[in-house]
Amino acid sequence: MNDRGRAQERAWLERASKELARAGDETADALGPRLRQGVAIRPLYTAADLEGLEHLDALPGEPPYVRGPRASMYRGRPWTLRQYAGFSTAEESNEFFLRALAEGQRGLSVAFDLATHRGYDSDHPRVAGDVGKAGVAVDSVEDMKRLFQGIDLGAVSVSMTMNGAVLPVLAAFIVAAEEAGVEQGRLSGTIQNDILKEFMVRNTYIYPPAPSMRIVADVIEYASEHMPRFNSVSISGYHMQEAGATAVQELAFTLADGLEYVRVARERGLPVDAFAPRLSFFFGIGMSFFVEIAKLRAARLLWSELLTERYQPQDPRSCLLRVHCQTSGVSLTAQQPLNNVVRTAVEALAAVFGGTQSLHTNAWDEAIALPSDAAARVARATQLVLQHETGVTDVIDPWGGSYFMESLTAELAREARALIDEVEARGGMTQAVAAGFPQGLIDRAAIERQARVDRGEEIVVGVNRFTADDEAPLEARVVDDERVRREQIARLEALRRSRDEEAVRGALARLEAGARGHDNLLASSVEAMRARATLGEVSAALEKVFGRYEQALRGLAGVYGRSVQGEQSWETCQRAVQAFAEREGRPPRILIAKLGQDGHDRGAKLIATGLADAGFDVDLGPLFSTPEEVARIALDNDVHVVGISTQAGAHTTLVPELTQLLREAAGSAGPLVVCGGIVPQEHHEQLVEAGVAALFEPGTPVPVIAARIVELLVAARDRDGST
Amino acid sequence: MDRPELDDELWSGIVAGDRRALARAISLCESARADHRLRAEALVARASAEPRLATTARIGLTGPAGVGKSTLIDTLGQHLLQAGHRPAVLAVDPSSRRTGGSLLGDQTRMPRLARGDAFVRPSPTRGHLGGAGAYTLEAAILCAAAGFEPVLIETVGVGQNETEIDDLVDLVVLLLQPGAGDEVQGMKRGLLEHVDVLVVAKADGPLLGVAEETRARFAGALRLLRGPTAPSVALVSAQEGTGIAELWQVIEAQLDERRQSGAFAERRARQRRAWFRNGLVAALTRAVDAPGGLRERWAHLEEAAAHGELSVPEAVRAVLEGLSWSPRV
Repeated sequence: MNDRGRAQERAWLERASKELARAGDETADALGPRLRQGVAIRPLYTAADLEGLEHLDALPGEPPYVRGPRASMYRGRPWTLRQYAGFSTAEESNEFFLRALAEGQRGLSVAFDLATHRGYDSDHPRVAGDVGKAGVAVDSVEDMKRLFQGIDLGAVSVSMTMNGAVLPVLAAFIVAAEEAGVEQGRLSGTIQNDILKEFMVRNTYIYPPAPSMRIVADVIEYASEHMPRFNSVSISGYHMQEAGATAVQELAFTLADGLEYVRVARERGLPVDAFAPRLSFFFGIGMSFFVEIAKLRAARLLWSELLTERYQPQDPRSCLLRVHCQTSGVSLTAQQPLNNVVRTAVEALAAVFGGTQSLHTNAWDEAIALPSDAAARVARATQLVLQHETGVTDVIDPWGGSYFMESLTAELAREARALIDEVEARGGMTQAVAAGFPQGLIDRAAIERQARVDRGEEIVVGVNRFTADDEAPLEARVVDDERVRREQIARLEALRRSRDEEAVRGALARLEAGARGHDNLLASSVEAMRARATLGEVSAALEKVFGRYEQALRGLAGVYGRSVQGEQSWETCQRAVQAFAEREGRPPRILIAKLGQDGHDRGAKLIATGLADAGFDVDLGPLFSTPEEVARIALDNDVHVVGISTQAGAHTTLVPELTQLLREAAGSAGPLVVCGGIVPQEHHEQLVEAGVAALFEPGTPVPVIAARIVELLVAARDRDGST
Repeated sequence: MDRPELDDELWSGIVAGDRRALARAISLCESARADHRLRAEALVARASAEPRLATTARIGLTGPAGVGKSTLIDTLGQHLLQAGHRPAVLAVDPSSRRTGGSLLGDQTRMPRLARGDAFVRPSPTRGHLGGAGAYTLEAAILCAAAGFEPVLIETVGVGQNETEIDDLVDLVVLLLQPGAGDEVQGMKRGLLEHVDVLVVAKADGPLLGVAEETRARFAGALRLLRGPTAPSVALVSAQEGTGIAELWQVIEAQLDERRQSGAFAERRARQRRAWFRNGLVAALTRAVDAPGGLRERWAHLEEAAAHGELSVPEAVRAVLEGLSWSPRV
């Protein structure tokens, strides 16, 4: 910066300080850096902040693509409105898809239920509460055909969020299209196929890391040969952000995952240009408006640099980062839920300013349940309003050249790069994930953020400030999972009766043998699904060879407690826990458990850490438990309380089963059951009737939960006079 | 001496193999409340008279954090269940923090066992009046009385208490990482003198070669240290399930041999001796520190010694002369 610039800035600072002094504000506080997503934001940026930045000259469609992956951007075609949806049976989801397409949606994005994600058919005993709940149930090619009935798969692109059971699902999609007359070379869309982030944060894996990475490579290889219009991996940061990652962590770990996929594909002998153009990315967009815009710009910059440095691709498309974005699910609140419309709109705007290629906007009732039709319409309309009423598509990269935005873009890229280097120094993402490196950093960031919210330092309107106590309950979509399960089971039976059993057995045997050898497993899965093997049968054949992977839930003792030390509500709750421990001879002991196939464990880990720091003894149950297993652990460990963390709706079936098992085994002396997570209002009564002692909605501060549990325990003890 | 009364209902549940009764009895052992302590003692006294106790092996598994103890127990436990055993696992964490609570993730680290017929009980041991060791013995005795066998005891990490595990179990299995080397030689020399079976874990995939090398190195070191009675070194992969059956054979063979030679019973006697001593010291310390206890009475003598009004030997003698030798525990 020249002398004149420096003098000018000093003068500004003086003026600003004087203004604040007159107003009586603390100058240091008002003009100091503010942390957003771990990035320090200053009050003013000037031309000096652009000095030395190398990316400024490139225009849209030019490396390093900061200003956009295409030259024409939204002038040519606005971003694709692509809503993630799916629930209940294939028919019901199909109706929903047809309606959405009629209402302006441009591409489809399929949510599968957790049974499908985890490779189980709908009739498997482990998935009793999960069928059709958090997505659509798909067991076979027949279900897949019903899902896309009346939709031209040669024209509409289809994105599928599938990782663990990627082989049978993608195979069923290929065969369903083929039988509808669309051969696989014409299919366009995306399969998520990003297993690393499953091990990191989302937990819908099936097999151990090594065979899982082989499957990823098989899919990339198959797609590069047969499906030139299909994205073979959607490298996803979204779930990291949902699990609590900062923007830098999301950026760094996502790109490091990408590098790992490039590496495994290269090890297959595929030239980088044969597959890298079909890698796509998926980011979450939260409420830190400027940081999110800069994140997308920095992601393009970094990916272009990393690929160019390491692989010198000939095809410029290999270095080009194309991205799908989704507004943040965790930023939605169950309290005053209509406020979520505003949150989603602001997030959507950030994604658009960041230059996203497609976008999902959340429905405002998703903090409580699956979206209702009305809420889904508002979510779609949010994008349509942005596209057609605001003029945001008129100009390409409108933030380009902004002192602040360009400087923030460079800073995020720099910090993410340092973290990527750290991952690479650990031998790449497969190794880093196996060692728990990214998980530890993300967990810590999540707990620290929750502590800031619980302390009121980070304001969430309607949750920790500006709260209202006269909220009307809202109606949420309810899936009758028992009916869906019955229908699915009937279909499975019909399928098994009508198919050529010998052909199925032969195809499954070839698949198993191929898994022991080096066959491309997607090719073998296509054969098996075509012969009408079920998703569960294909997964089981592979499981025989690879085994089913189990990963431990980890808590981080001490992290929450340190962040809230000295807070009055925290000390009050610690004293209550201590008093209970003295009275009972041991601290309150709680089992934190997840029921069913829902692998979202951020809430469970957070509450486990918080309660342990408050003085509870906390048992963490295994992921993917049945009610019998949870009851067994609760009784063996003789806990006072069982806390069920639920995100995916299986609680209506599984929690009543659990309370009944506990009652049968221990009578009134058994543990109390409490629930936390996403529980729609109309389930409350049913759960309370089933014996659930308390329901904690998302956003309830840890000290409130801890104090309430102790209160309930003391009341129960006083009532029973038990020891 | 007022003998604590036996809770008949709980006891009959335990001997009938009722998991709920066993679970509640172990909670009594974990409790810091005096009345719970008395009830626990009565149950442990009764259980100690059970003939099953002498035949139920207690096997300790130890090793540095992250070596895969839980994973091995998960796999070994499956093997035992299939072979008709009914194992119990006590996961003891003596490092649990004294303030605040504990995070116990054992069931998530042993997911298959937690689902099967085994009894798995992770315990924070901070509350126990006699220390982690006494708690473990009490809980192990109750598990045996309830018909669970063998009792596997997992202790976290290898630290200053590394040889104490010797006083708790009939057989010590030490787990090491492939590539464990020099740091182990120094750090665990004490433990290497007590270990009965050494296992190199994670012997699979790219680590198999390193694991074999580690086995050879430790077998050599143990021969030097312990001569012809040196324990064997096994290779296992919990991931692939290899070496598990062989490991159990080695353990059983050693236990059989010791039962026949009388070494098994001798070791149990030694354990009870150590338990007695530790228990006595703990009880005396408690009595000294109790309200109205000795510490209050000697406070002025300590101050007198501090200010030179009495010489230190004189002050000590004055305390001892005032003892009645009937401390109330």
